[in-house]
Amino acid sequence: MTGPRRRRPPAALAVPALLAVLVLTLPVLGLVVRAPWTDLPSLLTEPAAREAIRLSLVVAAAATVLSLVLGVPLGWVLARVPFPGRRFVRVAVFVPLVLPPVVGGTALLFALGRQGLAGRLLDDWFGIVLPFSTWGAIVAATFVALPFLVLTVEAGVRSLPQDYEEVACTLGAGPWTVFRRVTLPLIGPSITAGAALAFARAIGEFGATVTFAGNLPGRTRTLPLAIFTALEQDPDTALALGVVLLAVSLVVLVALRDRLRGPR
Amino acid sequence: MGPSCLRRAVPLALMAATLSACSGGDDGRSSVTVLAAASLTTAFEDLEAAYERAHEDVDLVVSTGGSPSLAAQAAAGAPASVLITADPESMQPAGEAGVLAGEPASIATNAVTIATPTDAPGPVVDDAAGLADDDLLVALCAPEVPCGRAAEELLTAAGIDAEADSLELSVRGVVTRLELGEVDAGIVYVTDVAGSDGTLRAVVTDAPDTVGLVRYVAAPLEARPGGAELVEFLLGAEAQGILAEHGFGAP
Repeated sequence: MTGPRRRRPPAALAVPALLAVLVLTLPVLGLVVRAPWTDLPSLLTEPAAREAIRLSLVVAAAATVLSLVLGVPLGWVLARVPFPGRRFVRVAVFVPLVLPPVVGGTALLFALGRQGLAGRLLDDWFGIVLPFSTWGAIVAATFVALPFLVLTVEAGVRSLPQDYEEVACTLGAGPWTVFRRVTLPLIGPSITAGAALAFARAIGEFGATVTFAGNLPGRTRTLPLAIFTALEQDPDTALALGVVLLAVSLVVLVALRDRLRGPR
Repeated sequence: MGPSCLRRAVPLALMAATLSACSGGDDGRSSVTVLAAASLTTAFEDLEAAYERAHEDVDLVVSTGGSPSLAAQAAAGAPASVLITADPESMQPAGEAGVLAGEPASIATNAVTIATPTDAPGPVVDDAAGLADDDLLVALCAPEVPCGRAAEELLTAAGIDAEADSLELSVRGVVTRLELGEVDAGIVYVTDVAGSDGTLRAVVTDAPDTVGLVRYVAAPLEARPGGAELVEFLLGAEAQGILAEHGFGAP
């Protein structure tokens, strides 16, 4: 029973499992097969395509940096500081993960739009209008990317034995020094993984962006919006841009390979 | 299978049974789906009611969107009976794909106009030249969709150099941004202003009436039956009356 002999899986499990693999791989295969590989260089060097690629990198990078600056502290607080309402905060972190992005965009519009709750004040006090600006696209991308960073960092901090931090404390280090010199280096891999996930989510962001930030080349038309727009008239360009995002996903998967490796 | 397994299997089986029972429950009417340009959204509420009154055995299902994406859906074999685009040009991909079951027929015309929210939260736009103001937030249709092409024509004719802040893929996108007060001005169809219950105001330009026009075409599709009948209805007196009520021009 416990020998190394491989057991045949029952058909009732093997067949749906195989179907699941098909559901996951078939669409990607469709993209790869149908992609205009020979025209790829010329399609991707078109000014509109280059602009979308550049904008996407800027928006995703900015959203990742914002997520790091805000998310690492929140992840640490959630893992280490018991405070009333912590459960509520954790639910709030999960909201963007389960909320359809277009609903997120609508919510952003009514909160930070020119007529929105906070957006009205931003406009009146500082003359800042987020919709239709690259900052709007960055805010939308951060909204959806931040949870990935917070949750990964929180899990990383939780998995640390508190001994190191306590020893550092007894040796006279203040809490900030402990965080900076002990905790931060130890959760380095979690931060990297969280940042990779946040970047991947940010660069693929569509629904919240198109709803909240609009669709303008060079300003808010990131790769997913460019793909959606190109599909109207020029499916080949849409496929070529799709290949770019597929490549980005592969790079992220490679960056995360240590975490993805299942048990042998 | 142990007793605990069974306890879980029974509700699942019940659920499956209920689901399959639901999907079978229709009221005997056959559904006819029409893919209609986004600017026809409001008019089709009345058109649908009129068509279903005349054809009691039909449940008309209206799916609206930007004309090119509807044509792409039809070309890909979408299970619909009729395709209506806001210009003949947008219909072409469907024609080339061989999914049309008849010649496209003109059913109505429309014209674009500069529009602004009536209770403008931002700067007030009083004339067309205001659209060229850089501080103004402007939403236009993307040049890929009919209202975008018509808008470009209008801007050129009026000699306005407008800079868009967002290019929407259907006119409804522009209308929504205007109605929410997120943009100061935009170019929409006159029917959108007429159907806005006073929330939108048209801004007059120097351009002649003959620019910025679109012509809606409808064609039956091969994918599903009932298309030719619906197109015929749209060309008839009752449907034409409804379209005129909503501000559309005669074909």
